[in-house]
Amino acid sequence: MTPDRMPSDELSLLEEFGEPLKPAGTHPPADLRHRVMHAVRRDRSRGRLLPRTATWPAGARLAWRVGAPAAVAATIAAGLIAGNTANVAGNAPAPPPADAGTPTPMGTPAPAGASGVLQLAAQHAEATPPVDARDNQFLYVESMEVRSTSGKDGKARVVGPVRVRTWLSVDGTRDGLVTDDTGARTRLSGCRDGLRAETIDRPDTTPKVPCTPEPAYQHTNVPTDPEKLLAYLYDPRDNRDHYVWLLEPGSRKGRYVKISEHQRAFMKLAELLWQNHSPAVQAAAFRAAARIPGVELRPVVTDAAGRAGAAATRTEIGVREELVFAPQTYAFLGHNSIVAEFHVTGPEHTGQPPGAVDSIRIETDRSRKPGDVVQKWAILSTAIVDRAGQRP
Amino acid sequence: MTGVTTDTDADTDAAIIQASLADPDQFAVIYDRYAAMLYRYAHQRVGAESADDVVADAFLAAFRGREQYDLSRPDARPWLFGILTRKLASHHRKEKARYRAMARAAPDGVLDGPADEVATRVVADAAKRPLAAALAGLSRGDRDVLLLVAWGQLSYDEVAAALKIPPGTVGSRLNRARRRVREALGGMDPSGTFEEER
Repeated sequence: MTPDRMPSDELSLLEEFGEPLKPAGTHPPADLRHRVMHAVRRDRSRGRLLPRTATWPAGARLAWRVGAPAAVAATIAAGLIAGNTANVAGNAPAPPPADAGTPTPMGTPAPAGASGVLQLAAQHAEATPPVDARDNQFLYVESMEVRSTSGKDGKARVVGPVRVRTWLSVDGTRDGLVTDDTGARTRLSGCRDGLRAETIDRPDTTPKVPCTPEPAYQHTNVPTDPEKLLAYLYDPRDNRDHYVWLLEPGSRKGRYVKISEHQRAFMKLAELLWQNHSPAVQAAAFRAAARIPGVELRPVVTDAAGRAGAAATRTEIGVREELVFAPQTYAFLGHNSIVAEFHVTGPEHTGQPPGAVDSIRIETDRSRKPGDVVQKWAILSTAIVDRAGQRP
Repeated sequence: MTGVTTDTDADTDAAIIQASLADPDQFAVIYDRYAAMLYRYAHQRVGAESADDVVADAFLAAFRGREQYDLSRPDARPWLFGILTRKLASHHRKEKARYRAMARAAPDGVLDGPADEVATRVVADAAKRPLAAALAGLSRGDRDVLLLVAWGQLSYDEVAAALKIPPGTVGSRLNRARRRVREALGGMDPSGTFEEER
């Protein structure tokens, strides 16, 4: 007997049974819409805190031109932890790392220019004394963010810079907080007993998903040896390929372009630099970055706070990832993603690819120009505080 | 202008979801189209105290998973019901306990209204406890299919798309679920009575 031929009585009775179970009004509760849309908007900024698919908006107008007024560089000293800027002897690029000849899965080391900046940045981080931070405390990060988005009219525009205050759990197990000057407030669920809330707006009432704590100011899970950190970035357990999904104007079918393992490692490193602010981790990260093939020096870039700096960059599939450093001290300032000339190097698929899809980009007519901002974040200051929400 | 908005069928769900990749605010359109429907369904299954959470979770999961959306499907309803079904799964025990409580509850009091309507309601009321008991006893997969059809008003093809199972499996699950429900209704022969009273 086919299902369609069956008499529909049980179903009618069941419908009848379901009638009184319906809500009283025709509309869901009024605050539900706000709750959903607020979570949707906040979701993107959290994408950086918890690894997740990033969305790449269509190109935006250039907000911060390369070579912004030199005066902004004056604000650079606004401290990293303890604000130590000592022990950087001049600004001549250092030679490539001595251990560059060691065989690694990564091949050739970075060019001397980028490598030099990264070595100086590592020295700066190593010279920065760690501050005392207890497990139950929070790392306070004050930052500026610039993001591009496209409005209902389809026109791309740059949002920000927005001042963002983030409290990250020192050991990764406590609930953090993100606020910005638009009034948004989002709790970040800490990873306790290997579980964290699946959703971000009601961590108390949503199901828990497995997690690993991400300490903000410890290095319990992240190696502080550059070689081991490289292995951590090129995670051999992650044997899936990763793709960018590109959608051409007027097309319904996207195509997938594979992201190289080197670009993945560089992007993971940028994410790590946001998640973990321990000087030992940061020093190892900069030394590891110098070993990733294809990393280049860009002598003058501008960060989300308008400060000029030098950047170690890696470009792939039309986006340049930039790690920005202060020109004199080599203190780490922040991270930029900038639209670049488009060159496809990896394999392409028109159907669903065999691996994970990492990010999405919509190609639109004339809207995406090299130099446009995809997103930027820049650290203004950091401090250790006792409670999430407490200012230093 | 983006390529998305110049499309002729720019207001299909697929086009809106595509546009929301670049502009998350577009997702509000999807919410406005389907929130009432999804909320009603969730409310029927898990009640007022959990429906908010389930629907909010489902929309957020839909938002996060929107790049996986198959743009060749203009109608997002099955996709959203599929996500909602997966979110309801975590309330599985609570939902079962709720049906069990209904199965134990006393029948409604005095019925009032036009005679034929009362007759229908008497039948429905008499069927209420066995129906609730039957729903409590169904496996999750069978109950999902049955209620997506009966309460969600999805077609078999839509249920298949929502649950990502072959249409044949929808048919066999539905058959099994309906057989259980008939068994629970026992000797009352709801079909005959129900049809007569119409």
